[in-house]
Amino acid sequence: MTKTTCLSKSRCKINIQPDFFGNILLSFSAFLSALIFVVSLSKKHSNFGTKLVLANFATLIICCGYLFLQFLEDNFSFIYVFENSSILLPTFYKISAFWSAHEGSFLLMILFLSGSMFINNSFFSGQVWMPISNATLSFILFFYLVFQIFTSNPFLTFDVLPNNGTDLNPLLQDPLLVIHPPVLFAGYVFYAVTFSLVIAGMFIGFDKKLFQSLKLWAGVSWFTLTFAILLGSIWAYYELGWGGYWFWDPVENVVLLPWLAGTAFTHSLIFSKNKILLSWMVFLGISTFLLTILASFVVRSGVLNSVHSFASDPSRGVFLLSLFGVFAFASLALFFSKSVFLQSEWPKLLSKQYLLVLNNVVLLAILLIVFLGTLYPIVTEVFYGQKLSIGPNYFSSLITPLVLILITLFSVEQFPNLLKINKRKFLLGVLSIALVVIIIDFLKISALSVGLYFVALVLSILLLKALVELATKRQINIAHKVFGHLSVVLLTFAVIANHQFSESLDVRLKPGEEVEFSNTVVRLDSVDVEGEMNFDTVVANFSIQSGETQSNLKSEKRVYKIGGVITSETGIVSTVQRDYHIVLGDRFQDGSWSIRYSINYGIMLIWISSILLLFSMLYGTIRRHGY
Amino acid sequence: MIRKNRLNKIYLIIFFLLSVGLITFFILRALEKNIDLYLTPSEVKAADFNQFDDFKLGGMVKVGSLQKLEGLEISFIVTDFQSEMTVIYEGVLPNLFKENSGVVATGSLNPEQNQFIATEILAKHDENYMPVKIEVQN
Repeated sequence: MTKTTCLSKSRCKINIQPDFFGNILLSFSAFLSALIFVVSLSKKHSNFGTKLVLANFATLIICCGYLFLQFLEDNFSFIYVFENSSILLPTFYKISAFWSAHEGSFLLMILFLSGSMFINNSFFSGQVWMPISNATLSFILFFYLVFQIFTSNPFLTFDVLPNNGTDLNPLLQDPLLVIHPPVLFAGYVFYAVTFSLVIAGMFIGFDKKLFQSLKLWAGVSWFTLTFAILLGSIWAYYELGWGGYWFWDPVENVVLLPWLAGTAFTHSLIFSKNKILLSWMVFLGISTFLLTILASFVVRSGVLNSVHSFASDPSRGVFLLSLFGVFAFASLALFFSKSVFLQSEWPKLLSKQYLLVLNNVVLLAILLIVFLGTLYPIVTEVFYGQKLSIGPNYFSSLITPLVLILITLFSVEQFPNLLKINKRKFLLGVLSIALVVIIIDFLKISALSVGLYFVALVLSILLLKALVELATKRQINIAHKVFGHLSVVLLTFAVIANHQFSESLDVRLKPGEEVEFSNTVVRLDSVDVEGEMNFDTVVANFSIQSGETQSNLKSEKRVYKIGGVITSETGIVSTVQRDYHIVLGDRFQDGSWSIRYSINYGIMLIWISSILLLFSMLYGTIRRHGY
Repeated sequence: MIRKNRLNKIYLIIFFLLSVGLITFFILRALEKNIDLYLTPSEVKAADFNQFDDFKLGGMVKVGSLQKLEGLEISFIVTDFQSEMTVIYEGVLPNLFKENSGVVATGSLNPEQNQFIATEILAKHDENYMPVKIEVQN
């Protein structure tokens, strides 16, 4: 398939010029960022800095509005608009096309960064740490803007006006993917704010007020990033049509890295009550931010040997890598020079804080596993020229036991009596564990089933405890913690169940034919052809008979009018226990169609538990602050 | 007090480094068991391949080579413009799969028939989720 004549700038014979207005706005914003940096450093505190932050935000809003306008007016002389939109595209997607490719999404990220700077300034105006926070953020913003202008400029124009654009990638024409990237970028930039607060704390010390703001920002960032990952996962399941929600693909893994560090960070903030392990908390705050930059570097530089090869300009990768290097060096140098002055104390053995430290260690071990598994192929390719990839088995087999340990740790923490250890209890504990191991070994239960039973056991104990507490005390103490941890256990249960029981079948069916699979009967009722505004579609109607219940589902295959791209719209019937999932394949000469029929267990539970987790995070973040 | 604190800190750092080193060692060992090599047809032929491990075969789908066999079985030829290799696959093909585009097949070699039996087919796509054309070097 060839997209019309001109795809990349280098191949074009048409002259390319920068658009005056857009570039002036970007440069002005870069200038303002530099100014904020200087002003924040020179004066202890001033309203001038806050005003500059507002001015910068306003400039970037106008800048983004200007690009939006080009999309809405179908101004295809803008290369970025030409490559990502078309006349036929519905208006809703013309707006989302803004962040459908690298340039626009980076611009959006910059807008968010300056926006969260503004929010930071208005919420916490007059705080002593504000100048340092502003200086840090404007420093980051300045380099992001330079990166934007020189390597990913969305304001480049042809000197001719093409009749039509090459259309927005059909896979991205999905409501979920419209909101996934902005939420992800928001999560990334919120962690930049958290980082700036940590930096400020290293200079002026961590007082109570700084901790309060830090907790709020850390909670908001954590919530946003989790939400973004959930959205991406739902999108992969419903739109990509691979029948899964997580593939251990490098692009997914690199988002998991800052999330894991952020999770450890948010938990480590609980120590802060009595300043236990302060340096540890600072270290995590810095790492989380650095990992968000690493994530964007890995995704955008094309170093990934992934099925998603986001191949792009190598200069982008080099720039982002040097940016990562600069930030990493500066912040870690600061950390090691200042951390000596931060008071750190070790928590007592088997106290609650001690368990929290262990929890952090396990989280970081998971992070290390994901980190090595994701970056190892890049290292071997660069140094040995050997291309390889790491199978999903590596991740699941190493991470599952660690997640089980994690669950055990935070569940035990809810029963303080268990922690008051004496010799008899200890012996009893060791004996019972040994007995369980022997029984498991004797019954020859597979490791995965053991995991499933274990998680189910923990789930029921925690649920029971919460219910008893609710019945006796009429309220649950620290409800967000209890529900957050409960949802993690539920999520783990659903994921293991999904892994354990899901099945799929590839088969060829003619209209009217049926096939039996795993106690269900699937029938292909009919195949229709329909036309829409920007695509034609083949709709296959299926009915699935499972016991007494019958359900119908539609599975589609779309051909987009521009570029002839083919996408599948998977047909899914969801129940709490399992999903029936059909992907329509190709048509054969004899009129039959290939289909992939899957029965996926626990998907609904995965979504439900994740949403419960999100609510717990949100409540835990905002409950103390009253807004 | 101060001296004790400093000693504690040193112990802490040593303990931390040691445990990270140990964990890394075990992770890397687990990694090596789960490596899927990514090879082109020329590399497969150049290597003395008497091993039956799974690997990933990458290259372009040769124009006109896609054949539908019985049932869901299909065959096509993967080429890197120097060597070719026939791939047999049974199942539903991904949407982005097409002739003259990049493909990654996971599976193992059937040495008797000089065929590659794939268990999974992925179409390579770029950031715009368009099929990738592999550029010919030389």
